[in-house]
Amino acid sequence: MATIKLVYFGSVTDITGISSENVEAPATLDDLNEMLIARFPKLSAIRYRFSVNRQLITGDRQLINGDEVALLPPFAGG
Amino acid sequence: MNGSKYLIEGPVPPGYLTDLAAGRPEKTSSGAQSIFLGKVRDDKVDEKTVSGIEYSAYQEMVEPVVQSIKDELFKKYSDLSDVQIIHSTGLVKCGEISLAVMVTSGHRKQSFAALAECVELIKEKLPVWKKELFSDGTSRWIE
Repeated sequence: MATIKLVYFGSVTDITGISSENVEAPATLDDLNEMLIARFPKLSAIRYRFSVNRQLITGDRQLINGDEVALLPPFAGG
Repeated sequence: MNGSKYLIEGPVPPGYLTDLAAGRPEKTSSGAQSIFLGKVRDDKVDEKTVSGIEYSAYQEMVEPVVQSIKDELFKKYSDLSDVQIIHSTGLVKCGEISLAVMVTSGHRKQSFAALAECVELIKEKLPVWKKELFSDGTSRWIE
């Protein structure tokens, strides 16, 4: 079974209630997003991007065993 | 330090970069060092006053992002010789320093320009989040 690590940051953690977890890997990032919104409906009301293995991702991509996927709300450093 | 050489738990000590700047006196080819210090401001929101900011970071992503920022600056500014960045995580109270950047170059013009650009790149790209803490105990994420 393929497993990925999910990592949550900023306002996303208020919605998920946890900062990280391991889940069974959906086939793609879009599938993962659908799955997360079904589980945490409030995610659909906020802005966030995905990174896979610490690289920002635009668009969809396949997920493989061991990927680390993060949900990143808009950055606010400084 | 908490896992990344660009992050520090709590406020950046005021002397952090000046100590760094005072070091390496043998490096005599660089004539300009510019420093930016970002401090937590006591903003007022709906009658409430900010007492501090709680910072969090995607620590494992900070290092590659800082490296990409440095690469971009070194590519654009040929006179640049060093870029130092340190950002707080955890609680930083009003008036304390949460970000320090020091840029070193041969001459002043590139150090001023690269410093300003570096701070903008940090704001845009560094995976850091902040939660404003108000004096009445409430808080909100800033995005």
